[in-house]
Amino acid sequence: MNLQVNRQGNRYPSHPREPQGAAASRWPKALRRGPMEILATVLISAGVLMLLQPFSLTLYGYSFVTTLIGVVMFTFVTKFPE
Amino acid sequence: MRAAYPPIAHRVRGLSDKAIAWIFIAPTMILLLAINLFPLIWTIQLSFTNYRANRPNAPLRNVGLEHYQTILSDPEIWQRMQATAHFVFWTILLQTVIGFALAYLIDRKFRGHGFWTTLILIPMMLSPAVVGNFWTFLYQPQIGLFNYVVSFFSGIPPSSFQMLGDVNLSPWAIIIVDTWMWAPYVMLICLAGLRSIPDYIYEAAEVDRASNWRQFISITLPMCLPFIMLAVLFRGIENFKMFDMVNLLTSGGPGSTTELASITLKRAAFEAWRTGYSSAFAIILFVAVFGLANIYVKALNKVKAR
Repeated sequence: MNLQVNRQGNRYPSHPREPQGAAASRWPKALRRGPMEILATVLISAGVLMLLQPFSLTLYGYSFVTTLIGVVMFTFVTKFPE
Repeated sequence: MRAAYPPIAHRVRGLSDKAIAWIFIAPTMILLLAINLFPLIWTIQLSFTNYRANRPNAPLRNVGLEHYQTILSDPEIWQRMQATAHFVFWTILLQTVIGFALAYLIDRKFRGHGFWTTLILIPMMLSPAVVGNFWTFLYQPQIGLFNYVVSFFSGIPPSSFQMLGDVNLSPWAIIIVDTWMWAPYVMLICLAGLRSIPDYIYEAAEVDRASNWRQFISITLPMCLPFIMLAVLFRGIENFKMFDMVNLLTSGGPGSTTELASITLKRAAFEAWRTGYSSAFAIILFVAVFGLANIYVKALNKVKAR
């Protein structure tokens, strides 16, 4: 991108700003924030439930990985466009 | 013109907006990094080692994911998690039901409702250390008031049961104390929810001849639900980390019936001095609490958006 420098040393694009929502429209539909956030929330909830459930030691064993994936996913997808 | 400015102002004037912003933000960033991020990163690093805080000069060995594997396949730790789950589930259920019921009553604005609100809120204002000691006396089988009250209503002799010494009763003893202490907090959140419902909705429902029960089910409960959810999530996170009050009341006993995850963690870290192991356990609990906190923030934003 062609950047110009103003008197304060800040860089700004030489072309006019893109219309709002243009970046969001280019973003793949499957990776929109809403559904991804729901998926991350489900993973976190499932992980915490697996950690605290009294039925299966195997589920307990996989609880941390599930929660961790959910947390990492949540951290990233909250930055995705709507 | 420039020579007219004092030297410092001149230098500041020469800085970009971004640089000035960074100068203002830097102290907070450094403090946050030192207080929050550094201990977290250090704990993560320690969780992969055999470090013991009582033997700081012992040779450090990298054990990889061994501590995580041990914790996540240990039936005893799994039992502690279940004790935590039992505590979290029942405290949340009781606190939500009692807190909402209290909020519904206080919202009626009867004579002296301000006095009763203050009275109900007192337990929440007490320190957990005070509450722990206070309830230890109340639960005394010989002189405790609790046993006498139960005896009065049920006819069971007061010295025939021990709330803190019985394997079956001690989990309920800590649930009762936590509910007594934190139901007023849930009440406060629910009260805020109830007071945010506009009167014209109830007036419209009355015009439509909706019964009180119908109004409760169709207006009060759905409009209060985000607030109830918020209270549930907040209490869930807090109770998942519960340590002080339970440690004072039972210290995890009798046996390990009331040994919650945080008490196990403290024992591993400061009694067995397995610092690396306890760091891994702390990270597992942290990820769970952090995940719940993320959901909590999301719910909070939804409530704000409303």
